[in-house]
Amino acid sequence: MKKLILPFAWLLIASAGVAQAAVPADEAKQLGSALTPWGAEAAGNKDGSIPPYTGGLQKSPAEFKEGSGIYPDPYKDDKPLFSITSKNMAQYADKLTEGQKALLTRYPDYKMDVYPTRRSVAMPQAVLDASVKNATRTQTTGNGVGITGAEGGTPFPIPKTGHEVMWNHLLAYGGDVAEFTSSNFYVDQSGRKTSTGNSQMRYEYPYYQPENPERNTYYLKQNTSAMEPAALAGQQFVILDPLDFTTGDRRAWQYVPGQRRVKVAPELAYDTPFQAGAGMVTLDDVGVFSGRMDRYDFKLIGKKEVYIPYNLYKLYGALQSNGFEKGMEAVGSPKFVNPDYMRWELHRVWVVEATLLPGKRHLYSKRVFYWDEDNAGAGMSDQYDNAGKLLRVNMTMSIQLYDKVIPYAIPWLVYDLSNNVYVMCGMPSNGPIKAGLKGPMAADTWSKGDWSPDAIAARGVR
Amino acid sequence: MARKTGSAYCGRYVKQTISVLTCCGLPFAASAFQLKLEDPDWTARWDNTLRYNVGVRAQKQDQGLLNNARYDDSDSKFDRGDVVTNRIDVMSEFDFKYKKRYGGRVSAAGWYDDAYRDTDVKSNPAFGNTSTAYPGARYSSYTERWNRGPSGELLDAFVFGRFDVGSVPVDGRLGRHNLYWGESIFSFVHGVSYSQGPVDLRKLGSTPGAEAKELYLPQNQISGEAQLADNFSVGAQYFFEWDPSRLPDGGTYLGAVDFSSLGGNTYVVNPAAAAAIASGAGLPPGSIGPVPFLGVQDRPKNSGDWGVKATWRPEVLDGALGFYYREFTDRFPQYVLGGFQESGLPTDLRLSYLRKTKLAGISLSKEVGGLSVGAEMVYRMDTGLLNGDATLVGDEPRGDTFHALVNVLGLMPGNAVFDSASYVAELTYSRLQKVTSHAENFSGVGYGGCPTNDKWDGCATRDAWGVALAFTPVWYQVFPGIDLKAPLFLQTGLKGNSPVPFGGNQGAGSYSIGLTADVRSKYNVSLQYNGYLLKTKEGVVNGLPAVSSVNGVGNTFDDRGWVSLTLKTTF
Repeated sequence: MKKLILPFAWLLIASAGVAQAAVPADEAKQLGSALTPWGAEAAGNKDGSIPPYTGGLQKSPAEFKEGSGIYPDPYKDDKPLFSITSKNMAQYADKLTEGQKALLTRYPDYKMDVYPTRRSVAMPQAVLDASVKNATRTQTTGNGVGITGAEGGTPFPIPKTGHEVMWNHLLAYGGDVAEFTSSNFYVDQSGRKTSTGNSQMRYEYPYYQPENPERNTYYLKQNTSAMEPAALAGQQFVILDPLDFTTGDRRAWQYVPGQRRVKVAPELAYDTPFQAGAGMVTLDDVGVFSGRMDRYDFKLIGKKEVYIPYNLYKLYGALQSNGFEKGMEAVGSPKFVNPDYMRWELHRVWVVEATLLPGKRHLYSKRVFYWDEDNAGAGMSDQYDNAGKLLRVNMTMSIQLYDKVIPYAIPWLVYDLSNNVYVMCGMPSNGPIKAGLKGPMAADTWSKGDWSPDAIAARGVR
Repeated sequence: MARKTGSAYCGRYVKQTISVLTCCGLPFAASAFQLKLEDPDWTARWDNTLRYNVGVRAQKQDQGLLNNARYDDSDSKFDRGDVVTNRIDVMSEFDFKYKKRYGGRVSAAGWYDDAYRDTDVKSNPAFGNTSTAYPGARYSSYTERWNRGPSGELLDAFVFGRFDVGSVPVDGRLGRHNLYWGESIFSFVHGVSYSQGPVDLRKLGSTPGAEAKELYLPQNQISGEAQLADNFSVGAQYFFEWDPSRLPDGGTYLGAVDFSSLGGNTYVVNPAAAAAIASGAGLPPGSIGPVPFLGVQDRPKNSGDWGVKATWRPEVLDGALGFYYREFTDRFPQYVLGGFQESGLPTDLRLSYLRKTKLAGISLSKEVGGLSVGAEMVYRMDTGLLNGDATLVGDEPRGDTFHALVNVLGLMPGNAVFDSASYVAELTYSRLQKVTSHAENFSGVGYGGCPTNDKWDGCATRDAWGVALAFTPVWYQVFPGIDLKAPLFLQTGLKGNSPVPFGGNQGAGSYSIGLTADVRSKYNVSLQYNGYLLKTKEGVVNGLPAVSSVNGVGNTFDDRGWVSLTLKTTF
């Protein structure tokens, strides 16, 4: 009998070489005590500049109109604690990313207003419960490129590798669906603002839809319907990202107006220029990082306290409530985003260093990611070119949708240091954020068939 | 007689496909008209594209063409350095939607070309008044309208809706719209989309920067698509309108054979020439009549064309398979004779559009190694074949043909030379399976319609290959707010001449080299050289040294190279 079992066990070990084991149950016990269910440190830091986690922001401010999809600033009475500029940056150097240091050094008038840290992130109980369970059941496959076993929560609350942290980012909870009008613009080195497009966006997260038969297949489905510039109106993109990139790759299609048909668009990945990014943003820069992780070695450096953009309600308000044109006028200062609309807070982040694998090619040779411990969807990154020079500085712009218990971190900002251009992407504007399939201001329901390329073509008007 | 090969004209469209697919800065505008409506269930938008083109002839007139009375009008209109187009185009589009499920769309185009302000038709003076194809040496009202204007036309005008039939979602459209099935990118002849709608080759060739929305012309029809399963859908269309594809007009810059114009009202042999022939032969005046060109005659009836398709995306294939069947009236013509005069000259020449061509095809769309690959195989039954000069109306050769194409779309990463580049390549193949009627009129090597049996006289070969290549490097933010692109394009027949009209001839094609600036995503400025490839034979025609034979007449001759400057904005 023993003879029969042994070879079988050996096979299991062999396959475990591909699938990485989850954390032991003992270690997972910290979740819900010392660690939040998704793995953040529940306690504050020593000097109290990071407060303990107390359940996040679940109460709407008085100004909030129920079901409006527009989020007034619940922290509008907060005053900056101090400002970081090129003059005093040395004092804060240990809490600044290389990207922020570069921006401070380059622009003497650049400043970071640092506000009290507000750990506003909150997620529904089901997501928290699933996160705890995931700690002992999620495994990576294909050297971290894919995962299996995870369901409806943070996949690796106690991450041990760079890939695991990156998966926490890719799978960060942002509701089950989000729909909004997305705006993109850039400010060139002459200080001129140019709108690069408005689109109707739909982000769907099957992974967070317990009743979706594809919840174990895809983690994200994106539909982009271009509205502006007018010459591109009617164009559509569909991108589907799988949970297990070892068995299936990203699927992408494009609807071509004029012919009313859909073409496969595999080029919509990696360092292909992002449509509305003025050539300064790659497809995998979307959300600071997205897509398949097969071109880099992702090394977990550890945790660090860093100033990151957080609770940017003022920025959202400028673009959502005042209309895109006015909003862009207000926030789109020359050289950098008007500092009055940025809010910086000290948070603990996971630092991951991605190095281009031998034989692989990408515009960026190295990327350093900083993901918030509370919302792995939010964070920053420094992107180095193939000469090893810092090329771009990326960051998400996040808020908490307090009425829906959803952390929201879709928009992002890219500073290109070689062209002195910055690009703001995916910013909700001209109207509400529709998040979730239930409740007021809910997103539309799409069936699986609605995502089919043929359905996209059939719906095409132009 | 005129054999027409239209595939030379597809360069313009291609560049659009590329920029669309690589999504790097088409000409755009920031402030389109998003109409604000009180009721959030309704959305509407109105966009206008304004385009200005100025073009200058870069090549000198070819004396061999001027010396052939059949080609001299088109070549004489402009000489090197002349402005060949000075044109404003406008396209307006209005869409509305109700609850994202129902809605409608109307679009229209307008134009005026000041280079044709003067509607005189020029000819080689050596021919006196015997060569002019147009009566009175003035453009017909048809040629004037479509080349000069000011004029306009309605494009799309349809309503659409999404309905649930049981649990099956069905999308339907009714009215003037266009559908383009299959995977072909450059070729509108060898794919399943052949003659699925009229293609505006006139605008495509002469108006750089034209939108695909203006070139694939809509027709009144009802169409629908039903999603029967997540990976299986079916679609159908039934037409209530038939219009022919548009071709350049004789006597205009890109016209080839002088008399060829869809509007007719031209002469193959004008009255002066007929009188000269009579007197030369010692016959009494009037014994030989002129030979008019009648253009579109016996216009096919509007309704009756239809097509069905099914798309299946089996998981194992990880791609899409399309299956198609269509029955249609050809939208590309054969040039045929109406009859004969006593003198032996034809009574007239006209365009014939064959009914009841049948087409079955399959297509494949799949990602292969990071590239978007499309392929099609098409079998056409009783399709019109390339016809000989002496074909009488009703005696057009028909046959079965096989067509195939494969295309690849890809993106190159940046390097020391450019920031990124897109490329598209398409290879086409066509083959004669059998001639089903009037083999004597089939202009193929070895058939009666090809007396010289020489493919270089434009006769079809058993099979033919063609290729189209586009490559567009991009440089971002070369100046603040300005991206540059350098679109390169080449399309040519590689080997053999296709058995079907407009299917491509060996050595016949076109190319372009351009430089485009996208200014703040709002204005688009393009400078481009447009060149043509065409094999001709020199000989003696009517006592003059002249181009005597062409492989692909109807292609633009290779002395028409021109430089165009295009300004474009959408608002």
